[in-house]
Amino acid sequence: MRTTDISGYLVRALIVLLVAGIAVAPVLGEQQEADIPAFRTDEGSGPGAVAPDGEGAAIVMTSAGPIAVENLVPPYPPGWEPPSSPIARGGLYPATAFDPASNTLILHPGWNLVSTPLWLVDGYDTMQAIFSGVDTAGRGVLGYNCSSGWESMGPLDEFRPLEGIWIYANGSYQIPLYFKPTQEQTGVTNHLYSGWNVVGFWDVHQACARDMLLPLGSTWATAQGYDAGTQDYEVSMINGGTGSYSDQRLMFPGKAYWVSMTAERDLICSYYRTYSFCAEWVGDYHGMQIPITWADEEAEGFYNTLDWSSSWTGQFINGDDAAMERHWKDPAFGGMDSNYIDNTHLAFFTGHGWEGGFVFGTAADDYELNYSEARWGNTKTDWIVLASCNVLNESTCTEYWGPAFEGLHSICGFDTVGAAHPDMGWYFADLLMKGKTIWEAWYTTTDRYVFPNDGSLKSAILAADIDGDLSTPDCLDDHIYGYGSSINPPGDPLGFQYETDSCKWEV
Amino acid sequence: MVGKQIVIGFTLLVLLVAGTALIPAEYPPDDGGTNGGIEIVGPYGVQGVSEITLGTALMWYPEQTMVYRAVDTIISRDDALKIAERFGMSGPVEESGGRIKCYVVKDEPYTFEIEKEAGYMTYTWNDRYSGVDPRDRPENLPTDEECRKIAEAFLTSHDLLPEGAVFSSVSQGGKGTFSNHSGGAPIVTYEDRDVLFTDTLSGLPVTGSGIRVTVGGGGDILKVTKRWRDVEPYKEFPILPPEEALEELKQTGVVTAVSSPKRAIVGEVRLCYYATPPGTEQPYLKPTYYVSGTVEGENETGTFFQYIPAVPELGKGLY
Repeated sequence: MRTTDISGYLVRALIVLLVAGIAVAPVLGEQQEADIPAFRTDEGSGPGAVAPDGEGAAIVMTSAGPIAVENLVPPYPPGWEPPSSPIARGGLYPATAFDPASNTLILHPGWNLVSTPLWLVDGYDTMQAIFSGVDTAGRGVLGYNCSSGWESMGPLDEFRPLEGIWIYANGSYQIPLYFKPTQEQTGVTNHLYSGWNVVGFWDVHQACARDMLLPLGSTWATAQGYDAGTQDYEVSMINGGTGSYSDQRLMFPGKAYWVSMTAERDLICSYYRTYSFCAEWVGDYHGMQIPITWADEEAEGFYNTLDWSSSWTGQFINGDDAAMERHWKDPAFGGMDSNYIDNTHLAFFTGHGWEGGFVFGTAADDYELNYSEARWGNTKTDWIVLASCNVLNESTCTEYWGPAFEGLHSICGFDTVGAAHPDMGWYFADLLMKGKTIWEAWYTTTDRYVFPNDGSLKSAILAADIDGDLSTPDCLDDHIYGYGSSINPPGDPLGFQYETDSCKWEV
Repeated sequence: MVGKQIVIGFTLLVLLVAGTALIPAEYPPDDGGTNGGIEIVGPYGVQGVSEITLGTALMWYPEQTMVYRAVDTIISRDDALKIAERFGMSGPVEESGGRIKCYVVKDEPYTFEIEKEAGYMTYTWNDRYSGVDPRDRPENLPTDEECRKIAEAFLTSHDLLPEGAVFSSVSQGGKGTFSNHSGGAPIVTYEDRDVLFTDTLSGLPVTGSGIRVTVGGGGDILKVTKRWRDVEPYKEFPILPPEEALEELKQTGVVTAVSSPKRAIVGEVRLCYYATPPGTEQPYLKPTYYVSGTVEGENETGTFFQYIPAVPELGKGLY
């Protein structure tokens, strides 16, 4: 590791601060994205809300008047120069800033916008302790205060989680971070002002912008990372945006992000995050279909078991006539799933099904949720389990259910006839909480409890693929939050991975 | 005239009472609880069929067969280590939390897990079994016969083939495909083969009890799964003739994906024992008919199967 001339540290920082004073104001309108994002309607349209402007673009309502979101460009650090060889701005796969295996912060040559994912041990938490070995080429370490602009970080300033810093590296560095033990980790707060703020990513696992910035509600307009690999900004993530601008794009540990706010708000992050789930089941079809004897026990077993998790909170469980099609149907088709199953991270259903959908017992809406009425993940849902016959039929499921993926990671179900068992639900939840992947938990459960058969009964998963690489599992290897890694797909996945597993214990 | 009517009426009443009294002798009430048995058959797929015909000759079956009593399986830490050592693993043995307690041994690339109270065991090459490793493309998969030899050699050389286990079948286990969002034919990215060795009792296979070896590309062992019911003989009982089992089939319905099935043709009737999932209560392992065949619906045809308990004296439950 290189060494830095510490004696010149403060002098250089003062020079940088002087230069930075000239560039305090955010630079607007320097670059404009080519494609215009579409937006869902958010909670309101008052000050601070992101709203459609009638032509598909979005505006931010501020005291200074409306500003098109795509025109917002965050400040560049003082002395920043455009990369000599222009590289197409992608932003989906920025250079890695943190290695969770070794807890090291990775600095790339040039400017880096970084943060610490967790609280650091006392004595190892100052700028000097962490960055003293970095050759900054005289540019020092910079913070940004929304009210006062750029400020130079002093050697004894604390490197706090949820706060980001700019640092110039005259080379590549891997800097070990020493985290406090789990029992000493606490929540963290960053007070954000209207305008641009630098926000550090909190946690050692990646998460999508929507989830990371959830406590800010509709007060955040756009978030933008800096790709140290290309030395330029990534494509922005816009609150409610879709496509390239989706707020379901990932934020990564070790990185920090510019967040444009339309009002003051505290960003409060608990050390222990909680995620939500729900379950619905239908056993009584009022004679229209054969009753499902164990539907209630299966769904309740799942719900009650996962509810024991400190990371997961059950939102609702509905059975028989209380389970309704509208809870699963997108508002675009007259449903209200954004208030029900799509307002949770994980949804579980037990009931009859067929290749094109699944069946309810009440005609309050209609009896069937057809695949064409499903758009999942455009509010929150990441995983869905449909314990129903044939919903993931090999020959049809990608064509039928593919368009339903709008942020969804995967659907588990049956390729063929399935089966219910009173122990299936709790066992599945138990495996999830043991750290099994969702697919492993599902096929292990079905292999164990689906009636012994001749191999013609198969469980299945349809999972979003993010890179088109056939040798990477992507969402196939997702764990539920809090029990292992997962990866967030774009709202419009490149493709799908489909797997079946035979439940074969026949004669 | 009135006297004649009284005599006829009395005779009918006697016959009715006598008939009713005889029923429990042949079909005692169910054990109750979850031993309703037949209900546990995948309720999604169980459908009534108005017409069932026999498309095969019924084979000879014994008049009576042994019923076995299930014995609890308890695995100690030492037991777990000894079994892990047969796989060539040396420990350490860890305990997993959760509702079902397991002993776990990790020795890259494999993970060995065994449940303390049911003995359900898996030995898994996790990275390969997730289904995207290029080594497991279909073209790298050995033939079915080669898979069988590989599995048999692995189990016997590691002293893992339980007494009573016999080769049952080689079949496709897992399969993975990739599809572009823009369409086009799916690309098969993964395929493995399950080689199943089934437990036998009194010369009959025990469905739901066995050891399964999953063979992947290059003949590598991707997974070994063992679910096994330890039993002891209970006593012999007369069993239902297969003809009567088919009559029962009309009452229970069949397991099929065909909607609104109209006609079922029985292609196979086999006698076996039925073992419930690991960790579930099962007092007895009873002889059971496995019936399968084809079924015709309004607009489609397909296959069906069903299990019919074969010891009327022990009720209509499967266990």
